[in-house]
Amino acid sequence: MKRYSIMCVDHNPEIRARVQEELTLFSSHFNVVTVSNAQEARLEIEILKERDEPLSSILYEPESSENQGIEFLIELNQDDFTRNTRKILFSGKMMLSDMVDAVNQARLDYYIQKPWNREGLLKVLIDQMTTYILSHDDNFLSFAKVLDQDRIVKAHVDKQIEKYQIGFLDYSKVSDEELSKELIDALYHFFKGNDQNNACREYGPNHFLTREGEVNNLLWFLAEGEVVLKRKNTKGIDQEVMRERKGALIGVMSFISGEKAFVSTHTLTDVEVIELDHAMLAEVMKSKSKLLPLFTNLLIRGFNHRLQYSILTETKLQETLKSLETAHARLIESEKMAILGQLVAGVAHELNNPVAAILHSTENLEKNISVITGSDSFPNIKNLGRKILDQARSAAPQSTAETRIRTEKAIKLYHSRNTARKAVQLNLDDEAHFKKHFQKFGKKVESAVEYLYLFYQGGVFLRNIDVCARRIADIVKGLKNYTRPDTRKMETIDLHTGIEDTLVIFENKLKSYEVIKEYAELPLVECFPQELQQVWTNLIGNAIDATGGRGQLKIVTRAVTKRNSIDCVEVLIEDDGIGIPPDLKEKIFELNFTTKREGDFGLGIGLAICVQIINRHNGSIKVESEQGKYTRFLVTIPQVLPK
Amino acid sequence: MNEYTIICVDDEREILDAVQYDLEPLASHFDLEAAESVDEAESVIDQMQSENRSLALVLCDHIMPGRLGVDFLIQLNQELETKKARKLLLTGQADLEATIEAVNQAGLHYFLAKPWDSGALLKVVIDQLTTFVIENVEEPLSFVKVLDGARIFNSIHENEI
Repeated sequence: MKRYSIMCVDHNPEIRARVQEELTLFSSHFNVVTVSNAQEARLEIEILKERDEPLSSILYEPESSENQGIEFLIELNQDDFTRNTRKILFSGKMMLSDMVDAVNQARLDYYIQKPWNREGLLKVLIDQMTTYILSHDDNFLSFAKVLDQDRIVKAHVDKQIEKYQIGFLDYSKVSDEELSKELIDALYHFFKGNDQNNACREYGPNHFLTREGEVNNLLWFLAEGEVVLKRKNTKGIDQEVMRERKGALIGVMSFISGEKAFVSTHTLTDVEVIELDHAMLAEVMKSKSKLLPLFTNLLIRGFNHRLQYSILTETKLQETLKSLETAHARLIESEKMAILGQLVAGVAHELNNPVAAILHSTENLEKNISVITGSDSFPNIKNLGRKILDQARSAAPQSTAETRIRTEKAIKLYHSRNTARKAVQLNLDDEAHFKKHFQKFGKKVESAVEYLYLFYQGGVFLRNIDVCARRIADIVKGLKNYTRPDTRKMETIDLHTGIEDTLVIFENKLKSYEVIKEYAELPLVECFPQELQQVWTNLIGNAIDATGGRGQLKIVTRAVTKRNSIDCVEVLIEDDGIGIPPDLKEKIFELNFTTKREGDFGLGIGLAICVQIINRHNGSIKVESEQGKYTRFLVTIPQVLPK
Repeated sequence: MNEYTIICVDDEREILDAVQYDLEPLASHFDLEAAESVDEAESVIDQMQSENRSLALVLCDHIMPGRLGVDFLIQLNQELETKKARKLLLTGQADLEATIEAVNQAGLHYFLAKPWDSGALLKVVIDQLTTFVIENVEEPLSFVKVLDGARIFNSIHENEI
């Protein structure tokens, strides 16, 4: 520790003795010198110069100078050695002009008026000397005992903060690589020839530094090589978190927080590290305080990188999650469209029949129309013909079976089976009508029946065109409803509509089925109609797959009130197919479970989707089945969707 | 009263109506029967047989509620009384498998695809019925008016030689 000096110049030996005595408390840190005049002072200062004991303060009595003035102070102010010495006038009486000169030319720091008291003098000197020391000795902290402790400590803190601030500001312009290089180089330098604890180490590949879940008391500066950070996933399998290379700090989190290591870290290559425990780190930082901001900076950067990395990961995860959701929605849509694709051929056939019927009806109508509107071969019964046309057009046709039975009876009147059949279809086959309309024609009965039959056919074809066009419209409507993109809008509907639309799509496949519908009066239900339609589609598709294309399909609906007094609608879809083995009953609702083979309906994710859709409606789906006998799905949907 | 019957089977009434109309020109020589299902067609055939009328031709849809058309044709092909009847499918949706089955086991004579052309349908049916009468009817001459006269004359001519 450097020593400083303090001087008192006064011609009065008593005063000098008293001052000497009062200043003894500084003697541990300051050489206290008292002289009687300026001349002596000059000599003494030369000695101090040689001993390198800078003069921190001088108490100067102007009377002790030859010219009794402040010239000596001015002189001190012009010398490099004493320029910053705190200059204190020590006098009983001062001329104003001298005071002004002292202030202006000697940069006077203080004026102590005699007579003085001890406390006053000490206070001034402590203050002045503290000022001097603070601005002249970096190691000012060691003067805290004898000088102004508060100011010194505060200055120390300020200085440290300033130092850190300077450090941070400086380092902000330094790249990560440079920063870590600087620190690591400094550490190597520090431990050079001084590495009793073997801080500087080398490890081969696959050496574990930290182990997940274990306490870690070490910190590594990675000087060379590469390490990998891994963490166990929920299934206990190690997953790579990230890799760190040259310049990285390893084990920081657990080292600083004292928490168990979050990740396992092991080396991938040969590595060079500086391995420190808490004590060693403290020692390094204590003796090389310059490294502290460097270290802190690196630490913060390390944390920052981790944070950024985890935010990035989080963001990526969210994006992945989002795209998964989209993919999921698409998957559901694909399932729906896959079923539609499988059904579309059938639907096309379904359209084919009415289209064919319409084409033939119009073609046939064209042939009949000239007779119906043309010259009258049988003017007497033309009105009857019109009536027959209207009737055939508006009434449902006789069943072929009924026609046959009545034809058998009518043969005896009309002789020809063909004519009798036509008379039956005209609804003129009984004896009364025969007598009224045909008997009069004698041998021409057959022609008369044929004539009227043209009107009948006209009516039938008009009716068929109408029926078929409606049928096409129904199919198209069913298709449209089925393929309508899900609006995600809740609607209040009769569930039968959706079930019926679904049955239209499946109609072709269901031709060889006995479809039993037991529909109850249902209250309107708040639901997502498109989604529910997909449920019916899956359940009906499954029923068809389970029955191998032929059998019985039963659809039962009913309104029920559950025990918790929630009004619900139940839809039961049952087939008489192969059934479900008991051990698979739970599994069928899982996403990755399928029994579907090529040619079956859908993608094999139908029931999993059904469960999701029904959950969204706060409903439930249950399955009952007996192998080789039946499978019955029961879907329950609350009448009102909970908000 | 005709000795021979044509049965059309289709579950769709409109198709049945249209086919019946197309075959109307044959009504003078063949009874036209329409059935809306295989079961109904079966009962018609039972009835016919009890009255000593024979089945000349069956024109049948394939996909129908209840029993399938091809199965019905196979059954007809296995029974003595109906084996000789001409068997035609009129369908839009018999797959390859069903069609092969119909050819191999039902002795299918013709496959008509829906939608059909009225003229073509009648021509096919006439052709098939001509074969039927040549093979099965002792006096086919009476059918010359509605069927393929040239073929019938030829066959008579050949038989005489």
